[in-house]
Amino acid sequence: MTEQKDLLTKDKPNWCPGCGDYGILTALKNVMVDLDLAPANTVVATGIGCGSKINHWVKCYGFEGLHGRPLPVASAVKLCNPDLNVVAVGGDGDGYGLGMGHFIHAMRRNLNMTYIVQDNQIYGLTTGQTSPTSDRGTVTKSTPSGAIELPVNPIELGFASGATYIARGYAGDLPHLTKLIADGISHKGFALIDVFQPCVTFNKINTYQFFQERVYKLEDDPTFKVAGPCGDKECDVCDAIARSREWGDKIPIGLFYKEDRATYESEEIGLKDGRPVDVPAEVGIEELMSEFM
Amino acid sequence: MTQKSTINILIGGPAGSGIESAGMLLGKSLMRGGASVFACNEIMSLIRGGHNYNRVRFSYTEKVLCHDDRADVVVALDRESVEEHLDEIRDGGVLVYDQDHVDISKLKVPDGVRVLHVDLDEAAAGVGGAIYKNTVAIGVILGLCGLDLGNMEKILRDTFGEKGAEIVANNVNALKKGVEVSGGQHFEIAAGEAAAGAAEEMYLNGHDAFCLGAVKAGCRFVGEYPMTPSSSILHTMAKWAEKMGIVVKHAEDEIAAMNMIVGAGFAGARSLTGTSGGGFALMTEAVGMAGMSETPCVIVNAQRVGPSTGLPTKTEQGDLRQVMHASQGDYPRVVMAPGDPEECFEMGFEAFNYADRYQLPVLVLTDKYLAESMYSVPVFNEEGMKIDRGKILDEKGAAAVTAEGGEAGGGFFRRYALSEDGVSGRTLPGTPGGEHVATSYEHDEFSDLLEDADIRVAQMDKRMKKMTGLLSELPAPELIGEADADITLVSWGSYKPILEDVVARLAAREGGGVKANILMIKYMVPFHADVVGKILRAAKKPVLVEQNFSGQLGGLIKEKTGFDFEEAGGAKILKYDGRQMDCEYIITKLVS
Ligand SMILES: Cc1ncc(C[n+]2csc(CCOP(=O)(O)OP(=O)(O)O)c2C)c(N)n1
Ligand code: SF4
Repeated sequence: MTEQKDLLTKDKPNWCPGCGDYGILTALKNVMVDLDLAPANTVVATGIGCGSKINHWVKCYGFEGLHGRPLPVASAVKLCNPDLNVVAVGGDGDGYGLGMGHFIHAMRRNLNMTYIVQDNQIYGLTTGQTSPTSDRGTVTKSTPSGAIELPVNPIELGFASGATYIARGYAGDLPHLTKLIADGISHKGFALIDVFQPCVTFNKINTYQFFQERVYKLEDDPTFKVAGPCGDKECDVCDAIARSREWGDKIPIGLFYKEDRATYESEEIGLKDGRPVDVPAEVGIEELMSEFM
Repeated sequence: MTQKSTINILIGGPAGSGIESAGMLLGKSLMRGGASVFACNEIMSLIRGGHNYNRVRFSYTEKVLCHDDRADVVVALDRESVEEHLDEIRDGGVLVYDQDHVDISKLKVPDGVRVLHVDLDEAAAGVGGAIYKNTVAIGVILGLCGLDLGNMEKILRDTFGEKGAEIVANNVNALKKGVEVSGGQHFEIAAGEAAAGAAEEMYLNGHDAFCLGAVKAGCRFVGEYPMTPSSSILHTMAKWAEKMGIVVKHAEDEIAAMNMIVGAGFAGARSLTGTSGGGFALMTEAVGMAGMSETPCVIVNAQRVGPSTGLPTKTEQGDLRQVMHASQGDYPRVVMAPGDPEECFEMGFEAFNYADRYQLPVLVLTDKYLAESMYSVPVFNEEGMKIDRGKILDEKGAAAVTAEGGEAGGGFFRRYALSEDGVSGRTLPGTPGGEHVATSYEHDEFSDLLEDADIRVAQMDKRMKKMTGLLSELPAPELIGEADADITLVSWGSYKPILEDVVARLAAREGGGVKANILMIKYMVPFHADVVGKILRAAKKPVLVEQNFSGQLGGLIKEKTGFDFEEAGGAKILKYDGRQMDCEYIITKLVS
C-alpha cells in the first residue's frame, strides 16, 4: 500500500507561500495514496515553469524536460511501457503556448494518461508576463498596455480535439480537485484536467478571492449533464461547451465530458507482442535480410 | 562489339512514370543473376512532372561500388532525358528513344552512339496497355545486354503474383516484347565467377542497412516526422513494426519526435529518430536535453542540400557542423558517419550500444546518396554482435547506490552519482527504490536543482569524462590502401566506396598508375586528433574530398590537429551542386 510517507522527497517545495501549486501537489499525492499507485510505477513528466518542479517533491519517477514538451515525453513513456501510470504536468504557458501543438495531438491520440495543467493565467517562473489564458486587457510586464488577444479556452479545445476526459479543477478546493485527478487517472484514455492555480505573486486578478466568489461545481447543478459522445439532436456537448465559455460572475469547475474510446496503445500494432522497454538479449534479422535478397 | 566488364544503364523520363521501380526490379534481377550492382535515383521534388532518372550499373567480374556519370545505354522516355544525357553516352553506347513521339531533330547524336528507335507505347499496347511500358523498357535493356530473362521473370512473378495470373503473363510478355524490339544486337559482357551466384547477396540502400542494424540492436521505438531523404527510415521501420514489435510514431513535428525518443530512452527502450537538416534544427534543444539528462537515444540526420529547404532531393554533406554543435552548452555526444551499407549496419548497431553505455545522444550522419542508392552486398554477418545496455540497475543495484549515499543521502537514489568514467547507474521506471527525476536542469547527484558552483562543475566534469572513455574505445581511423602513396584522399560518409573506386582506377591508369590511399573519418565527435594528425603529416599529397561549400571536415581537422590542406601542399575537391562526384570527376581534378 502506498502511504504518504512513501512519497516524501529529499527536498521540500520552494514555491511562494500560498501558491496554488501546493494544492495541486497535495492533491496528486493524495490520489497516489487513494488509488494505491506505487511510486516505482508512476512517471510524472513535466515541462519548465514554477509548477513543473512538482516531480521533485513527490517521490516517483520523473522526467523534467523542456518548456512546452512534457506531452511528447509522457506519450513515449506510455508507448514504451504501457504498464506505467503516466501523468504529464505543466503550466498554461508551457502547455497552451509552446506546447499547443502537442496538446491538440495528444488529445486526439488518446493514450491512457493524464495531463494536469497548472493554469495561473500568467507566466510565473519568468516573473509575470501574459499567458495564452490571460484575459484580454490583462496588464503584465510584456503587455504594459493590456493584452490584445483573446484567451484560449482549453476545455473547448479538448472537445474539438478528442480528449476523452475533460475537466477543470481549482487548487483552492482540495477534495474536489483530488477526486477529479483520481477519476482522470482511473479513466482509460487521455484525461485533461485544467486547474485554476492562483499565482499569488504575479497574478493580482485571478486570486483565491476571485475564484472563491465565482466557481461553482457542475455536479451541483441539477440541470447539467456530463456530456458524452455527440450524435443526438439534444446534444449535451453543446451545453457543456457553453458552460466551458462561462467566465464572469459564475465559473464552472468539474467534469465536462467523458467518453470511452479505444486507447491508442490498445490499437498500436507494435505493442501486440510485448513492450519496447523489453529489449531482448539478442535479435535475429535473417528473415528481414531475406526481404532484400 | 568489344567485351565490357561494367555496364551502365540510365532510364530517364518524367516524374511519376515509374522509373524508380523499373530500376529497382532491374537491379535486383541483375543481382540475382550474380552481378554486382549499384543504382541511384535522381528525382525532382515533385510527385509528377520534372525530369527523373535512374542509373543502374553492374558487372559480373568487378565489384561495382558507385555510380558513373557516363552511360552505355540511355533509355529516354521523354525529350528532356535525351537532352540531358545524350553527351553522357559512351562511344559504342546506345540511345533508346521513340522517334515518333520524341523530336530530337535539333540535337546532335555523337558519332559512335547507336540510336535504337523503339515505340514503347505501341509495344506496351500490344501486350495489354500503357502500364507495361516500363517492363518493355526493361526487356529492351536485357536484350541490349544479351541477358537471360529467367531472373527478371521470377521477380515479375513475385512482384505481381498477388495481382493475378493475367497481370503476370502480360508483364512476362512485355519483357519478351522488349527483347524482341531491341533488335538482336547486344553487348558482350564479361562473365565472371560471381555469375555462379556463390555468395548470398542483398540489394538494399544505406538506410535499409542502418535499419537492419537498429533492429538487430533491439531498437523498438521510432519517433519521426517525414523529411526527404530520411523518411525511408520511418517507412522501413513502420513496415517491420508488427513483425518485430516496434512502436513507430509519426509525430506531429520534429520537436515532438525528438522529445519522444528521449522519453522512450528514459523509459528504457532503445529509441531512434531520423530527419534531415531542417527537422534536425527543430530537434536541437531536445538533443541537448538528452545530453544533460543523460538519456540514451539515436538520431540520424540524412543530409540534403541546404541551407533552409534547399534542394530536397539532392545530396550534400553540409550538416556536419550543425550536428556537431547542436544545442547550447557543452555536453557529451557521439557523431558518426558511416560510408557504405556494411558500415550503416555495423555502426547502426553500435550506435545503440554507445548510447546506452555512455547514456548520451548518438548522432549519425548519412546523406541522400547513401540513404537512397542501392548497393548489392553480401548478407550481413551477425556474429559477435552483442547488445550491451550499460549500467542499468535492478532493485538491488539501486539499493546499493542509495546505501553509498550514506546518511546524508537520506535513503534516496542518486541518479547522477559521480563516477570514475562519468557514467552513473541508471534505473528504469518500474524499478522499486530507483525513483528519481531525470532533468534538463543542472542538478546534483540526487537530481535536485542547485546553483552551487562546485556541484555544477562536478556534474559538468562528470558528463564530459564520457568523452575520454569513448575516444579510447571508438576505432581510430586507418588508411585504406597502401601506406606509401602519392596521394592521400581524405573524406567522410558516402564517399568511401567512390574513393575506393578512384584508388583502383588510378592504379590501373594507362601510361603509369598513380598510388593513392584513403583516410575516411567515421567518428567526428570525439575526434582522434593524434592519429589523424600523424597520418596527414606523413602524407605526400593530402586531398580533401567533400560534398559541401566550405570543407567542413577539413575545418574540423584543422581545428583539432592544426593541419591545413593548402599549407601542406595538398588540395581540396569540394562540390555543392547537389550531385555526387563520380570517379572520373575526382580523377580529372586529381591529375589535372
Ligand atoms: C524554449 C524556452 N523558452 C522560454 C523559456 C523560459 N520560460 C521558462 S518557464 C516560462 C513560462 C512559465 O509559465 P508557465 O508555463 O505558465 O508556468 P508557471 O511558471 O506559471 O508555472 C518561460 C517562458 C524556456 N525555459 N525555454
Ligand atoms: S511565482 Fe506564482 S506560480 Fe510561481 S511559485 Fe510563486 S506563486 Fe507560484
